[in-house]
Formats: sequence, C-alpha cells, structure tokens
Amino acid sequence: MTLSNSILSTAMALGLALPAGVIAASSPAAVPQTSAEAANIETARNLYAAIFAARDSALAARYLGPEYIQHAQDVADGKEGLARAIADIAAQTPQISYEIKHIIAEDNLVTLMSHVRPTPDSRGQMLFNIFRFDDGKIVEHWETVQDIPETSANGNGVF
Amino acid sequence: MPNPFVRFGLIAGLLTLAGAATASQPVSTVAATTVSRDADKAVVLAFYEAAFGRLDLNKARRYLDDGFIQHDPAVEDGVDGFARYHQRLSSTHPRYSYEIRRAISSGGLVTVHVLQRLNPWDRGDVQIHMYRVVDGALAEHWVVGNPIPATSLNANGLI
Repeated sequence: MTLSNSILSTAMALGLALPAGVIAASSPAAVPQTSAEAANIETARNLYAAIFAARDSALAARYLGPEYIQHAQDVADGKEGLARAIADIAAQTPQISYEIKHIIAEDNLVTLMSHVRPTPDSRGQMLFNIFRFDDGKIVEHWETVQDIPETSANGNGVF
Repeated sequence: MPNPFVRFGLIAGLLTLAGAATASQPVSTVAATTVSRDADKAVVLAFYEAAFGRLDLNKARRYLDDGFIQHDPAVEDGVDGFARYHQRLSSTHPRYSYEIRRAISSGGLVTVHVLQRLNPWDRGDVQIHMYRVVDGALAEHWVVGNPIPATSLNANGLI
C-alpha cells in the first residue's frame, strides 16, 4: 500500500471526511463543483479502497446501487461478479496496492486514473475507470487497463 | 448524458448572460463553471473532429497549446510529436473513424470515452483519454486503451 493510500485508509477508518478533490500533493486534482459530485467522488474513492485495500465485497456493495452493470471484460456482471473479482484479488495478489492519480466528476459520472501494482516491485498497470451514479450509488462501470511499458516515446511518464 | 453538441447552444446563451452582467450584478458561480466545463469539452470535441474526423493535421494543431505535454508512451512529446504520430496514423489508416460515447469535464480536465476503428472492418479499440485544457487549447494528454476482446465475462460490451 502506498503512503497516500495509507493516509486515505487511516482517515476513512477514523471517519474523517477528506477534503473533496484532494488526492495526493503531486496530483493536479480537479475541484468538484457540486455537492453531489463531491459525494460521488468520495464514493468512488471508497469503492476503490474496498476493492484494492480492504478487499471486502460486503463493504464494496455498500457503494453500489440495486444494479451494477459491468463492462470490464475480465469481470462478470453485477454485484456477484465484482465480489468474485475481489476474492480473486485477495487470493492471487495479496500485496496489491493502488494510487489514484486523477479524479474528476461531472453530473452522474466520475473518472479515475490510477496506478495499480499487483506486487510491490512490479511496474504495474495504468487504469482509467468511469463510474455512473444513480442517487449517490454506483450503477455502472467501464474500464481500460494497460501494462506500464518499460520505455516511452516521451520523457513525461504515463501519469 | 446530454448531447454535447446540443450544449453548444447553452454555452452561447450563458456567455451572453455573462457578458451582459455589470460589476454590481456578478454572474453566478454555477453559470460560470458550467460555461467553463462546456467550453473545455467543446475544445476537445472540436479537436477530435479536426484531428480524427477530418484527419486534418493543420486544423488540429490550432487546438494544441505550444507547450503540449504528451503522456501516451507510444507518442513523442509536444506538438511536433503529435504531428509525427498523426502523419503515421493518417497515412497508414486513411479510413480511421471514432465515436465519442461520453465526455466528462471538470476543473480544466476533460475525459472522453472513445471507440476507435483503425480500419472500417476492425472490431475496434476502446480508449479513455484525458486532456488538460488551458485557455481554449489542449495542454496535456493521458490515455489508456484496450482492443475490444473477442470474448468477455459479461454481455455488456467494453464501451
């Protein structure tokens, strides 16, 4: 788990409300512009923490609506599909860590760009997630994932 | 999600309202931020139409900031780097096409969820791009993409 995630998890465990839009000091965080968007961002962060840090499908389900439409190709549909994916993460990559790099919200959609490392010494993967919300709960998910390449045509990093 | 092209009309209307306000009648923050969000989104959509709809590099360049920062590991840095990438794309895939399925704009960052087909007969790739928009120009770009798989654990499609 990265330092920023430790802080995030600790803050959540203490029930502290994190300032909306604050991710990590180095992130060009976008400030959410409505209270509903700020709440959606917080819920998306909480779902991420439930999946990748707590690896707790019951916790994750708290943030989901009555339906959860899954578009990620390697995850089965619905809440049960997500629960199986979380169980796989816990069983197969117990050292997995993540860092949310960017997060923006508009209307009922939230996008996250994040860095996930299956093991501490791996280069890891870059992910974009889009979550659709209905009445404050996540009801649909899209994703793109790429392994972070060893080399790049530019010197800027992928994040 | 409202059709972004329909929202051009909204942008124009709100800009008129903002322009008519006097110092003693400040424009509401909500109206101003809506204008900014939609204006940033409009820049990205216009860039897409020029760069990837018309494959018109000269027109596309007008939407790129001089200091354009590229994070896509497959593309060289800067406006010149984008130009070289675009020349490769348009020469090898003259029938390139794209669809933007959703767009999210907040705080100067715009995300677009894109289905691209390098050739008309391709299954296609799903990409999530993010742009930082500064003063009406694209200043920075991130992307993660995946080919649409032949099979998926769910029946909802990748996009």
